[in-house]
Amino acid sequence: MVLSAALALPAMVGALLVVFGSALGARPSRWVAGAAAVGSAGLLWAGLVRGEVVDVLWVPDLGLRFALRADGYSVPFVLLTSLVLILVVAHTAYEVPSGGSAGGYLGCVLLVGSGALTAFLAGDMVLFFLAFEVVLIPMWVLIGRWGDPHDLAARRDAASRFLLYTAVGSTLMLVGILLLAHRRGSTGFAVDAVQGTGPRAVLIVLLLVLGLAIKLPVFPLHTWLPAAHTIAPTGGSVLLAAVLLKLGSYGLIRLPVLSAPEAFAVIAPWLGLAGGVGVVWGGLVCLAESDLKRLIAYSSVAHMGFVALAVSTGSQLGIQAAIYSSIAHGLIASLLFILVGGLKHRWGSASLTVAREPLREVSPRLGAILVLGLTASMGLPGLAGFWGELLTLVAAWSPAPGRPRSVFVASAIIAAVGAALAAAYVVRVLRLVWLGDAVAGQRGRPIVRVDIRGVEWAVTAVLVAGIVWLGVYPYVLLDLTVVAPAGPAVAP
Amino acid sequence: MNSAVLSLLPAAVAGVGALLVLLVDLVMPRSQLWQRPLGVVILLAATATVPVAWTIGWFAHTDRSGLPEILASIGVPSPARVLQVVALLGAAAALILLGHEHREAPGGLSVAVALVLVSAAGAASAAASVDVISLVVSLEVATLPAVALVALRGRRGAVHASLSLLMTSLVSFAVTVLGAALYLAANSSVVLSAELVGAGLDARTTRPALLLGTVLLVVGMAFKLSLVPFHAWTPQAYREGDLGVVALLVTTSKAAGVGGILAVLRPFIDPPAPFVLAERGLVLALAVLAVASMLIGAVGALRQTRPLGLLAWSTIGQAGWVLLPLTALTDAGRAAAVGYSLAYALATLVLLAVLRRGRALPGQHLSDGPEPAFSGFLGYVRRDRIGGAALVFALLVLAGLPPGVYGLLVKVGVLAALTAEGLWVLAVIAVVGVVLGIAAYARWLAAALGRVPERGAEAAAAGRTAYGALLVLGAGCLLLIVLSVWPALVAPFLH
Amino acid sequence: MIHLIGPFVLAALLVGIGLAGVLLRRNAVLVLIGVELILAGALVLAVSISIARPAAHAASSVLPLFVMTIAAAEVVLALAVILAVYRLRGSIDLDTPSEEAR
Repeated sequence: MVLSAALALPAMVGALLVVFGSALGARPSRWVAGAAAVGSAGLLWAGLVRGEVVDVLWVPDLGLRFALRADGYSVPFVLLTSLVLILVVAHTAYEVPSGGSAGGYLGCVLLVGSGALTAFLAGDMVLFFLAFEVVLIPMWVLIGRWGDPHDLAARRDAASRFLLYTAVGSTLMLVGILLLAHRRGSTGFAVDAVQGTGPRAVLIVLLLVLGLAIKLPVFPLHTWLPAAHTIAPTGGSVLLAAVLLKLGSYGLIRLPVLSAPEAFAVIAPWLGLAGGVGVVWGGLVCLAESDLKRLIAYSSVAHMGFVALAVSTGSQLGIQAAIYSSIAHGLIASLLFILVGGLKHRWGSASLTVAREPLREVSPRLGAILVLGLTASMGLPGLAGFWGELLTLVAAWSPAPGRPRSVFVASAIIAAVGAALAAAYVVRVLRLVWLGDAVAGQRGRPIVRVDIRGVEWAVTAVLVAGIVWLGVYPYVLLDLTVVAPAGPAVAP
Repeated sequence: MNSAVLSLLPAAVAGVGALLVLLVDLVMPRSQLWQRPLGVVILLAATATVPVAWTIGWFAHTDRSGLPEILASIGVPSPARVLQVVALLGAAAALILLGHEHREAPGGLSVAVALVLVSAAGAASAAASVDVISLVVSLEVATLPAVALVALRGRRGAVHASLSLLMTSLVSFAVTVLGAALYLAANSSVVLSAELVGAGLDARTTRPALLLGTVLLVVGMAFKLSLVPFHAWTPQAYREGDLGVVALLVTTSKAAGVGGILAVLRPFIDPPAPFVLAERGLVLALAVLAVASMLIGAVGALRQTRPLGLLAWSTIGQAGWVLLPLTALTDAGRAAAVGYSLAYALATLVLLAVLRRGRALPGQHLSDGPEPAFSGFLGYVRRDRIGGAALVFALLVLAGLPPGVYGLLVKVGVLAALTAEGLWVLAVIAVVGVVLGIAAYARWLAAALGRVPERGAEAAAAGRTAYGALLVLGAGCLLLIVLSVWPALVAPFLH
Repeated sequence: MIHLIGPFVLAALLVGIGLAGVLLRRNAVLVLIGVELILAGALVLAVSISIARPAAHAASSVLPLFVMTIAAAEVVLALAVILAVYRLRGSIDLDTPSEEAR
């Protein structure tokens, strides 16, 4: 009951804001949305602490149950989503993107959050798919309506790319889910895993992996992501990075890895290799990219490459690494997108080719946080990004039995090279933005101090705290995920 | 009264109602006010008889010894009841949405209303028929009034559209009759029963005739459902027909076609013994029709710039979706097909009501010419809250995306029926259909959700409200929302 | 059943000619005639089958009766529409698009 209420609250408030948001002013709708986000988080906390489980038969024809439950694998994602939702709502106090009313924007944000929370809590595969789809339209509207106001054609292109790619992915996943459900005789998650590597089992896993790899995204299927990230408003980018991509990694863990481990082992080397190549590809593009927002989007591709590699190892450590990388990337990318959104707001664009006053001089606090975010992104020890990458490489070094070790070791080496590239592009960005080409006060312009403060400062501070905490004390998350959840056993 | 005769009650009420309308017209030939309310009341009464007749307990298994074969063979299996309701209520919605120009048409409103009633009667009886003769007769009774209604609009384009609709319908009639004759020749009976088909398929001499007859019957239904390659009439008829006539085509005619195809396939879906070999050919034929319609319809819809063009092509695509689960030849597949038809009919009715409403409001930029382009809908959500919300919701139901959950659930049902029978190749092809469909509907959706053009912003509340359109729109949306939250409501009636 | 070959061949011929008319002709009246020929072929088949299958006697008599009635109604409607098209356009070619429809 509490869990259902925690999901219904943002959904209801979001729907009301979408319909009546423009009649409400920006401030009231922000308070309403904030109350919904915080209330939902409180209810979720209560539900998780009480270990609540919901299970109601919803569509008898499909055997679809409205089942909600949480375990060690879903809790990190639920908490991340809850936190990011509150932060995104709070961030509108700093900036509401142009394109429509604040109420409508916040309504879409809440709908995305509600759908994602439902997906992470779903105890039924088809319900997971439905929740996956709930996210689609509000996010499409966020990109298409509140996206970058400069270029209508690019906005349309990005929005429809997002919609169609994700629709392909989720429908492929649906076919896989239905085949799996038919084979297992139930649409629930908590059923015995499919054994064997027969052609049908491999087909199921192939469909699931393909569908989720588009969402994650894994290297050759990533082309929707940079466009969507670049165009989306700041809050939309944060949601994309911290919530939507996580649907992909959570789905990969929950569906192919846990539901059909043996058949997954057949495809896993390919996924791992694609992940490794993705890390390098993302790094190479970042070295040459001239738009800061797009650069961070490509760095997301690289990070998701690590997640793909970690998942494909199939070991318990690999799953933990994948969850760790996902959560860390959620926090780091959120921070970076908020910072870059702020810079874009101040500069008018996020181009790196324009010579500007160095942040070190103009806005030291923002500069410092940017340094922290970027170094966390490149995997500096002591920050959240490090553990995810390290655990991934360790897991890839000794993959679960039945997998060709050489492929995984090769992928790990490729990924390590990619991680080194990350250091290169981070240094490049810092040189351009933080140190700056142009000396402050040059060409007679006065130094305009536009440092972050207020809400922006608070939001980034929370994220920084999270990143440092996870970096210094990784056992918070590792303890949560070390116990295999009730249900199918995982290959050791 | 004999129970088997009762099964024709909904059709009989609608048919007698048509006569009643014409009789009242003799008494008061001038007035144009009473026809629509009377027609709607008659159709509601006919709808009410569907559950009444059901509770009296007649269906295919009733003892009918001593009745003439034709009469005896009419019974209503369960999914057909849903189709009957769709046909009758859809016709009521069509009456409400019927344009005013039918008053000036020859015969006035009375003839138009009587034609709608006759079409509903035919569709109700087609859905209920279990023998090929009553099937052929009822389908023609359902189709011919639609042809006449398109023609009665009197414009040049409309008359031409009705000519192509008529020619298609004639050819389909001839093909269906040929199929019926072959079926009769093979089985020595016109009853579509599993026992007869099983026996017919077992005998070497009758098998080719039986299969050919079945395929021809399916092809005849494919014309009615506007499946590719028998779809050419659809875009023209939709573009030239009045909104009410289009509503009749998407609900009543569609229900008749779906009911017909279910009747033809029923012997293969509820078999006493498996006829594996014959099924394979039949499945292939159905799959080709379904996949071609789904894909070509979606691609055609993608190329449209105007709502009615989009609706026409999407009808073709959605007809493919209705046929797709039937390739599984299972009860689950039949339930999925009927559920899909229901979602499609409701959502399309809502869209037609939005179009009617948009036309009634002046200064909405929707009244330039008979069909506004998508660009006429820019920012429609802002200009007309109720209509805009309904438009978005109905489009999402058709595209199969939340919050149009029912639209998504019926798509899941279709895919589940396919995967359960191992037809995963079709399911994977259907992924392409899903995405093309979303892309097609997204264009109208994007316009409606887009930013408001400067000049249209203030004209919102002006003009008179089309209460009829509001009624159809409200009822359709309400039903879709209820079904989204509680799909189990109709589920028992689909099996 | 040698004596049934005649009716069957006749039915097949009628259907074949009718089908050719429907597929090859674009003149509305000729298509209409093609449809009538297919119908006639089907009815010949239906009627003659009762000789071989006495069980089908009732159905094979009822089917033609209904079909003929409906066909008559359809021809009336078809000729009305064809006349209307001819008056409005001066041609009854099925392929000629109307200007308004474009």
